[in-house]
Amino acid sequence: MSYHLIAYFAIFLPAVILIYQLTPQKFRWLVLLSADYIFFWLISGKLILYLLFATIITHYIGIWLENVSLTAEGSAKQITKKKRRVLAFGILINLAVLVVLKYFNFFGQNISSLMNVLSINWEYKTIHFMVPIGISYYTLQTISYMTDVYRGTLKAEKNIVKIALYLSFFPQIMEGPISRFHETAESLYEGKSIEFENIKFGYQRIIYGLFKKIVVADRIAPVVIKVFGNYTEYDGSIIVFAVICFTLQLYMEFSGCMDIIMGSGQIFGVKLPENFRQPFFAKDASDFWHRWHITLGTWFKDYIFYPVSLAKPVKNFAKKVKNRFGRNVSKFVAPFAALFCVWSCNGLWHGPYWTYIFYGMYYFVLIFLENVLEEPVSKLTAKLHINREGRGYRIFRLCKLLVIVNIGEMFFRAESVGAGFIMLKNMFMNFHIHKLTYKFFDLGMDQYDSVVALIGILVVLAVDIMHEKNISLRDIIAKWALPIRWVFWYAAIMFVVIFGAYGAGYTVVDMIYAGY
Amino acid sequence: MKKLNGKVVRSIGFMAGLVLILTLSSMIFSPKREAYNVIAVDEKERSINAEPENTLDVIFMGDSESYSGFSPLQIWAEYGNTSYVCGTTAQRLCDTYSLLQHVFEKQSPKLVVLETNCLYREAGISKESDDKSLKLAAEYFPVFQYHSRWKGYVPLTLSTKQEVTKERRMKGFRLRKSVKPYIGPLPYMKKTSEITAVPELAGEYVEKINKLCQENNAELILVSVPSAKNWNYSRHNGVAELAEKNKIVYLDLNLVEEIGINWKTDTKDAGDHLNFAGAKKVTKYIGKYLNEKFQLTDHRGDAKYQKWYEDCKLLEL
Repeated sequence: MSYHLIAYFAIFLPAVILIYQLTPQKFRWLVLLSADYIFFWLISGKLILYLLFATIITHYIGIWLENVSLTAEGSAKQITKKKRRVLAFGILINLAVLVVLKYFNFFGQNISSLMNVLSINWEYKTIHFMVPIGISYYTLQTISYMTDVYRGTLKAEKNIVKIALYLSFFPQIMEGPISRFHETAESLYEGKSIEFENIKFGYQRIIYGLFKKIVVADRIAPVVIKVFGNYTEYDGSIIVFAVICFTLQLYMEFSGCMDIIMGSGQIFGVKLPENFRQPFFAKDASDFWHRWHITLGTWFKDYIFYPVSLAKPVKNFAKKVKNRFGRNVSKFVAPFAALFCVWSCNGLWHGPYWTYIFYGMYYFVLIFLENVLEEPVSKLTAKLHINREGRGYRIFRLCKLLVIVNIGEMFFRAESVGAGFIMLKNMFMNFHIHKLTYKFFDLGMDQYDSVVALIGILVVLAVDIMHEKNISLRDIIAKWALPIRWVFWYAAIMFVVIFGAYGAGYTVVDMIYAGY
Repeated sequence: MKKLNGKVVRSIGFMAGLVLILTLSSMIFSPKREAYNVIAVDEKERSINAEPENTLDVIFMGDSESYSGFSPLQIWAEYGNTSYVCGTTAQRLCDTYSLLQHVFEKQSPKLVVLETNCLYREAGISKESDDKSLKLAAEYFPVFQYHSRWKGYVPLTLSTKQEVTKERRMKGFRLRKSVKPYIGPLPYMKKTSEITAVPELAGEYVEKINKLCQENNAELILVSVPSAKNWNYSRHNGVAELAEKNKIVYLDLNLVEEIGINWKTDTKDAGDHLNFAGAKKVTKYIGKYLNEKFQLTDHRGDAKYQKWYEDCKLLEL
């Protein structure tokens, strides 16, 4: 079951809402937890055991960490050391499951290839692991919980139900957002009555998400599948078009699914953290990642960037660099080390493929360069009297960002890193715009699909502009007179039903981020 | 409480309105006959409607193998018979049946040639890969099944229209000259007694199609167009078994060496479909076969069919 299917938003979700509301408040957590596990069972079957294991371990480690704080004897340093060992143990266990299931074959195959290069005759035999959907998301949540307890910013939770609810909330288990314990656990356990307004606003957001996913993203998908799958056969102009299509598809799909997820959460009074904030209005690559998959970025910031920046070896090395090259160079040591770790993990988190690792390294280089060049660029623009907030500079910045993001997504989606480079080469060396115009309707979207996709993109752009200006469209609509409001929502629903790219003649497109 | 009741009443009102709209839109979008790929069926129906009534001798049905292999204009040029390819991409037999019903309303062909690759596809109305809830929704509100028909209601005049027009003028044949050689094992038709049986539902549809043809005084024949990638001897056996059971003529062109398909030059996509060069060879053979076996009328010289000569220029014949 996926969030964009009728089975979810028209059957499963309403059923849970109804049962939840009819159940006395003190047992509502049981309804939610049952719904979570039934949902997980439906998508991953017996692999639910991994989730149960992670829940038990996380709960246990949390209590152990707190017990160490309360009962351990010795100096503060010794206690911290002991706690660190417990935390490391907890992280290792949860991470080991993820690494083995998701990355074991990748490392095995690469070691095997390396052996072959070194003329050592060793062949790795691929093991078929069943990977539960959502493991990449809930594992990060287990780590954040345990680390927060270790840091003392969170009290260890005695009630395992709250941890179970936090790790398995069905709207977010497949694609995130990666929430923190304090953001959702209490409201999930509380069992507050569902408010009418929440159902209304929740479903309105679900409709908008379905619009992005079914009307726009799934409509563009065939172009992406066709061109990326046969990239050698296409002209550079067609590759550029397909790359733009993929960036749009990914944005519409991921942010659309997020809207469905947020809407579902809102119905139960759970305020899940936002994962998108108009990413294409970002100033630069770094800002882009503050607006795109926000919860993954903040997770890496809190649990990798800061710990690495403040790690003793990094500090010591920065000191050495300072002594030798001065402060102007040493100030980049910590960001370099931290960014490298963050972007390696970011790449790998998406999956065991070199394209993802390359994607991570691509942003590592870009964001590090942005850090290094920020000061010289500031000085240069000031010297040249260029207004960095002026329209001209903003347009330049937007173009630069679009190029960066699209090239990044191209490598992200390419069949291999080599394929990405071939596509890049074709974009520059073999670009003939007339070939795109000639083949435009032969790429997987006919003229009707193209018009609907364009309208959809313009609608989302308009809504994003409004959100960027802090205008809430839903609030505006809510103020309209009832008949107009109803007409609007009927039109919106029927637009999705009629213009959705589903059923005969359309490719079934699974949720991309559910695969990570 | 009063406030809540008002909200409940409003919600029920909203849902009732939605049900009404879905019902009305289902009435608007439902086609005359049930079909799977309603976009393709609609387009083909419009194409066949453009043909003058009772002017077609042969109708070719099937999936992409049919419109890649049979060229009606060539048959016209060589034998003077009129034919039309009603094959559509990944055609299911439910769509074949629906289209044929439409064809028989305005045409009275003597022969219906069903290309056999589609016998091994899903044959039914609903999409198997979709969630069951969508199927259920489509049962109550057919707009979920036929929503894409809006494409037929909105006239757009961008460049694809030229492609559509060209395909119509070539009577459903798709002329594709690109070459991508087949590099798999040859010969791909290795004799075996194994049978890949035609799926049950497909078999039932063949029976229904055969009955429909008989009711309309047409003969159904099964033909397998050469396809090194899709076809093999066990499938041949499966279709032969079905043909025998239903007393239908079956011709497997994969076994006819006389056609002389060269898998290095005559396929556009590595043995899946024939290209123009391959289609010419197959059409030459099938045209001769149909004329010899079924004594079709040669319309050449008949002023009623003047336009066929003009359209032949498209093939440079």
